[in-house]
Amino acid sequence: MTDLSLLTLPFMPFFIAALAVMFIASSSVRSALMLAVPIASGFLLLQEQSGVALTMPFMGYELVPFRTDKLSFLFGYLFCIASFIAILFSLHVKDRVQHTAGLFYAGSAVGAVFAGDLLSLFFFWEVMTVSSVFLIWARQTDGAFRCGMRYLIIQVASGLLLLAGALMILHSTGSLAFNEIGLESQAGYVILLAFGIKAAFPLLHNWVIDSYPQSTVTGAVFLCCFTTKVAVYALARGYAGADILIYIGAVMVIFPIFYAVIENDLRRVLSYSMISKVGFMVCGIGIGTELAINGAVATAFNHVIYKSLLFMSMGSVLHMTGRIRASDLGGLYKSMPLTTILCVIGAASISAVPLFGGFVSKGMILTAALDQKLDFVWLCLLFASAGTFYYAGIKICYFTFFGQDSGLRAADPPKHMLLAMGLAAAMCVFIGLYPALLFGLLPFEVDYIVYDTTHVLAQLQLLAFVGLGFVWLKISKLGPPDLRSVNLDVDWIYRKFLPESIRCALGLLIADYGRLKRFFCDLFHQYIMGGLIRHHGPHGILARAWPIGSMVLWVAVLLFFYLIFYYF
Amino acid sequence: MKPERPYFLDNKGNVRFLIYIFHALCFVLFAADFVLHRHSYHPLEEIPAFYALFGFLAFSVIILGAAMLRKLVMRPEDYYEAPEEISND
Repeated sequence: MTDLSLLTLPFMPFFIAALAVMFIASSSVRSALMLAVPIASGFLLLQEQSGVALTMPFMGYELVPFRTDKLSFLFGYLFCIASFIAILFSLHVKDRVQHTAGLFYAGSAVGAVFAGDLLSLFFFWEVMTVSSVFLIWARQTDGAFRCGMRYLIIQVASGLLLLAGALMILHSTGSLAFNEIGLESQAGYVILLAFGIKAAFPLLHNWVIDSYPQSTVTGAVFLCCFTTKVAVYALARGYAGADILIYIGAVMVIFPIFYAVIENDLRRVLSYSMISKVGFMVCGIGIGTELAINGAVATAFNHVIYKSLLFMSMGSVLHMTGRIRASDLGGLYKSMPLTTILCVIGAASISAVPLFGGFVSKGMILTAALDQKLDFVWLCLLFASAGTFYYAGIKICYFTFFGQDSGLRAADPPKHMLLAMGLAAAMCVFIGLYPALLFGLLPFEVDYIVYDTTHVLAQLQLLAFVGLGFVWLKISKLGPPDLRSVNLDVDWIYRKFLPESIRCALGLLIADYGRLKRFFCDLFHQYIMGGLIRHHGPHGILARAWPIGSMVLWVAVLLFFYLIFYYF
Repeated sequence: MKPERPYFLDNKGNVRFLIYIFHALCFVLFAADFVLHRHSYHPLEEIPAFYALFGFLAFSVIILGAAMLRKLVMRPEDYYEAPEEISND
């Protein structure tokens, strides 16, 4: 391939459009352009064949910014579909920064799954980080700003770890190619940590819970689709069959369930749910058999569809009512019937009800765990399946749309939002009815029967009896109430414990800590800020509008001295 | 203002009817385990109606576990910073 073909790579339409939408004032032209982007990108993907690689020299190394195989194609198509849905959902937004950020974010996710070397992956990884933080800041509240900063620090840390790991690999093997990494070297662990942060491994997971519920209504839909799924893709390519992932995944599926049950903010419930579902995928990747990898990847595909549907329906509720706490909602089915139906479809899919998308992929990972005699892991996954139905199927749907009538009467959201949700719901049903279509995209040959008596009966029994438990709990009026609260999680360490302990330690060490702090604050304000304002402020010497002529004069003077030095 | 028309679930009778139907469904699924052949890959699965029992047990564990977790980690809403009113934009 020549250099020109860089322009025909599938992420390019996203990047070009992201720059273009900043300058398009007409909302209809902007909408048309944005909707055309994922279609164009998908079309470019269809033109490519498996096994193609584009190489590019860079500082003496050979980079592979584009490389195709079945695994990247699946994620590529998935991200095109997801970004189309998310863009359609966000058409009403007038803030062009959000559109630009969303397009850069989606485009770099598409780029990341086709990156053939670790440096290209790092590049897309960082573009994803920087663009996605604007979807949080766009909320324009103090809380969102601080949350965005925390998000940025954690994501940049992940990027730096990836870069460090990549350089270690380059040093030891002389190649940057992104293939199987494994855990034989230290670099393997460093990169696993980088991927682990993005995949929300236990103890590294808190950024998901912190940031997704803080982002804008439409931003959350973008956010839920890409970052964690790129991490799942990267794990599947680099660490398939790494035993440690099985156990990390097993913890990941279990602990968020308890948090999801007691959480009041419904978008936060969905964020916990996302960690649990990514745990399924991590587990599948760790098991590493063909069936397990297929299951993990198929789960990622379905997850993007149904999780975006759930985030869209909760986003619609927030958009129309201004509320998102379970304790403030209830009875919305009366005035939001279409949103209710679409949300129920999403909940049925995530709960793996037969005939919906989630059922197709969930059983593959469970069967793979049983095949490998991982009994305990199988029980963990089964437990998580029951939990999913409770917090997603029952909690999200029941407390928002049914349950105690809150008296809120908000209408269904605008048509484009309903259309986006309808599209995602249709895909949930379609994949449930025709799993062969998804199976055709999976990296390995599929030898798994979805609809047989065993699978269907087992799953229906599991779901029905979780439901029965809930009904009895409701009848006996013993159910845990939804309370307005904050639940401590790992972020307590860096939001409360560390700042408080540093303050205490300094207070103990230095008797006059208060005075010292004031002294430094004064120093900072008087000398540093004062100096900056003096030179760069409205009347500062460096902020003055200098005529071009004076600049030319100074350039001429510099050149003159340069010449003198050059000759003597 | 015109009083709102009563909705389907506002009627206690309808809710009771749905609960009966749901119990019947649970019974049918429970009984189906004794009629239909469910293939077992694991010794635990051979327990009659294993999945039904597991579902109910898992639900109980989740509710009890969540209640205990709440005692441990629940704090007032302004624990980190004062909650902002959620804007709908």
